[in-house]
Amino acid sequence: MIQTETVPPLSARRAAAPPALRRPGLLGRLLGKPTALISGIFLLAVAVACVAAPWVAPYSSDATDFSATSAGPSAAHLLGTDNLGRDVLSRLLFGGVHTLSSSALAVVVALVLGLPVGMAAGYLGGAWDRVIGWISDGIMALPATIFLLAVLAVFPHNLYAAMLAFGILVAPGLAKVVRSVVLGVRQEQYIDVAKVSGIGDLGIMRRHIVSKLGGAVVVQLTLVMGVSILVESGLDFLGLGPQPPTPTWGTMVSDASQAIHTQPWLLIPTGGTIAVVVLALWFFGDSLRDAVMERWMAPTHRRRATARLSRTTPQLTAPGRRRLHAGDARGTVRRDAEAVFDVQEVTVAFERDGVIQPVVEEVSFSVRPGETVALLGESGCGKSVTARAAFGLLPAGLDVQHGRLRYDGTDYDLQSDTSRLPRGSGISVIFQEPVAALDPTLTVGRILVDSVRRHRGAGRAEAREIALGLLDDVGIHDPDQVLGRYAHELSGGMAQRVCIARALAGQPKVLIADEPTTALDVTVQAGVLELIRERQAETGLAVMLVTHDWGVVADIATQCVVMYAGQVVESATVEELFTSPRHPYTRGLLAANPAGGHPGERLTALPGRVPAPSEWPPGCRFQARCPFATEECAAAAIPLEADNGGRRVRCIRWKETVDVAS
Amino acid sequence: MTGKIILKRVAFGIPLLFVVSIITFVLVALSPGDAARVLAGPDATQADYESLRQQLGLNDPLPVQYWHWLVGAMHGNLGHSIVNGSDVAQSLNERLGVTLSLVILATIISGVIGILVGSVSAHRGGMLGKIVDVGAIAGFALPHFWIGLILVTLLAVQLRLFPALGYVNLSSSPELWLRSVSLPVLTLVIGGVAGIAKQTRDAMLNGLGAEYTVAHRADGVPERSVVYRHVLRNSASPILAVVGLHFVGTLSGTVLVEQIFGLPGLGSLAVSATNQHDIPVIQGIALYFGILVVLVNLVLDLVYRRLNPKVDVS
Ligand code: SF4
Repeated sequence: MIQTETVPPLSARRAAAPPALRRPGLLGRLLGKPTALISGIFLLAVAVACVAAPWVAPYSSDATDFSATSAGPSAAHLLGTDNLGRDVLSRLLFGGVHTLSSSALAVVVALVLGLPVGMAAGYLGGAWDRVIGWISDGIMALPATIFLLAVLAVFPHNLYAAMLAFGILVAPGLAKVVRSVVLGVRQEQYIDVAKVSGIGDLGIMRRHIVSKLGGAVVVQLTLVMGVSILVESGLDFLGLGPQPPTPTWGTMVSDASQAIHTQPWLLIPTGGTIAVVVLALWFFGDSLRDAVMERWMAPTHRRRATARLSRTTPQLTAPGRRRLHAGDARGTVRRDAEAVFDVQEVTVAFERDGVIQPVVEEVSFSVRPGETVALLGESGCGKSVTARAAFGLLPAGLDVQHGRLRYDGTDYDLQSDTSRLPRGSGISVIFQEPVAALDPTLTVGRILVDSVRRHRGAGRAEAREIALGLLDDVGIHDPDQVLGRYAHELSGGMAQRVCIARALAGQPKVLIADEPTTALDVTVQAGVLELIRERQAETGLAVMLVTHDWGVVADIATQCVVMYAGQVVESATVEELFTSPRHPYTRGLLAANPAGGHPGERLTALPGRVPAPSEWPPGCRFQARCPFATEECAAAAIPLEADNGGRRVRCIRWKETVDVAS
Repeated sequence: MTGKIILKRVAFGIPLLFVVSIITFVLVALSPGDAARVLAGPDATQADYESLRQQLGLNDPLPVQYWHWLVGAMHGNLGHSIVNGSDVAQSLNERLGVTLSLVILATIISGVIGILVGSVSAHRGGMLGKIVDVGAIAGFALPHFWIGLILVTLLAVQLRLFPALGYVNLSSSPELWLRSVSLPVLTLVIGGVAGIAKQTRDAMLNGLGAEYTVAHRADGVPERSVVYRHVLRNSASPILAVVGLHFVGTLSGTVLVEQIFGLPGLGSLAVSATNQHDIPVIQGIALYFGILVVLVNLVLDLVYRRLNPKVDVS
């Protein structure tokens, strides 16, 4: 049976695989892969040799050499001979035609039936979609072999009929793959991205569907071909195919099995041939899939953007890691004795092709008890990554290069020490998607009670009482009922309250809130913020808030750290930031989103977009969008400078630009 | 609640069984020869042949024939073999035990080992992950009948650890039974275990990247519990699905394996019936296989429900 390979969703890989600079086409990629090249050439050679067997085979398929029966490999018979003295290599070549052609028949049938049906299901959706899903599930649930036997019982020894039937049986599986590709492309994120970047046209979608579909279908067909060869030779092996003396790969294994007592060697070339051919198909399909995936990772508009910003990118090479912009922020960090949470010079990077590409660089900030520090910036500026690095749970592929955290008087190295962090008991986290953050297989009660027991060492009954109290504290009116519910039975706002209750279960001193209201209904956002403020007033909690929402900043933050392209560009108190922003980026944001905006207003109205890490220019990273940019700005990295009051700004011309603006 | 799942499965399974039987019937209709010709033998007169056709109901329209078969099947009567006239249901029941021994043992063993290895490799990765990858490729690409033959050559012919052929009833000697099914089961396990491990690992890796996993870790849940309690439980659905698929593959595999090891099960009967164009027997076996698949899916559903007691299972 075929197990359809599912392709991991794009989003799962995005973080780990930002775009590189060069983007060769599919064929170029494929040729660049040794496995693809070797397996492709091998398969081609096998196919050609089998078709050309009458000319290239050393002997005819039934020529017997009685001087050398049941012989091992020799110069005259490269793969030995069988018990009648027939040359194994020659018989394999002649037999291959039958095996390969009947398997190819199954592939063709699967393609002819599966492709149009899958496309129809993908485009038409609805009832079509359900019927096709049902049929393919149903067929997947059946042992195909018994149907093939039934076909062979009716059409004796006609393997073409059997393989035609097999093609019909696997067609729904192919249709399912086609359908999901078509559906996927229609909904995929990068099309949205393309639209937002102003390059979104139907052409892009058409191109993506064709290239993605082509790739996925060919990958699937190589698998179908492999399975067909296995099935076909299995049936041959059972003696249900062409009758002796016609050679096929399956009957040759069967002949070999008659001789395992006398000449076990025969098993190797016969079964081995099938195995190697199917392996080659698998490897070819696999590298093809990789090539296709890599191409999907590289939406067309990226290439254009890169071409526009053709500057050398600051990158570190893996072995000789060199500090980027050393001394950049050094000495200018607010060393704050009162801070309970002090993040110092965090650099986060991913590694690709031996090159270490930073995504967050030398970010420092601190939070005092009772204070709320907002980490602010457009999407892609590195604020969420900074937050994740600060509690030591970066997504796979991202690593802290260096950075320290001082929590409540204890120092932690964020590169190596994160398992010691008092997660849940000292530092707690709430997330952007509260429903997704709750384990779908556990009730709210299980989650809260476990958390309370872990952090407070309470017994089960006591923990339950505490959990009820926590739910009450976060403003849930029927805590008893809610304890018995699962995540999917909660509204977003309710789930976020549950998450806050969980975060507070360990009586933490620091709460990291990663876009806590972004995914919520506008109507419940204010309530959640109010709740955080309330808990903070009661316990002196220090809050680190990641947001791209001015309304949230105005509502709850006391300090602000503005990030752009992986760096801190400005930090100040909220009043200072709203009344006298210094960095042109901050001012741009504020101009686009009037101060004190309502919750829900996002930082998106600024023209242009945040450059991806691979596009970071050597000088000021904001220069492409900055109205004040000069040559000096492009010359060298811009330092982050602090004034006496502890305000920081990363702009060499901020004084002049403030004058111009006022 | 359990009743509801059983109902749901049966609602899915019954149409499936209909499809199985209809497909085989349509195939018979396409068939050039017919059973009466075979049964009557080469020297039968035209009159003998005609009366045999009448007697077998072959002159009825196809839907009527199907209806007769269906009514019979409901009463456990699957007709008679056209080769030796024996009762199909009876000969299938005699052989069912052999096939069940193989598929149940093979599914349980590869399920347990596959899930274990898969989850450990998701947790630790590294070497074990590579072995699982290579094993899964080998399990996909190597012909299972060939693996069986190599096992016979090595373990039965060369080392004489197991019998190469034959079957001993569980009731007559448990030890000999175990020895007789060892190699066939091993063949089936080798073919599928790495595939289960790989799918388990993929599902677990998915779960390990999920938001709820980050939330568990952020709340200080020890890594061991995150992996083996929470993520494993959450991955139950894809894992059980692949075990179900593996069962179907194993069922197909018995056809070859029983033939190689000379076991008197449904699979080897299917092969001989095919060679003798014994359609009623093939139909009966297809029906039995269909019923087994439905039953196994039902069991897996119940297991899933125990692990993951959410209200709505999609
Ligand atoms: S350094 Fe230059 S380009 Fe950068 S923000 Fe300041 S003025 Fe603009």
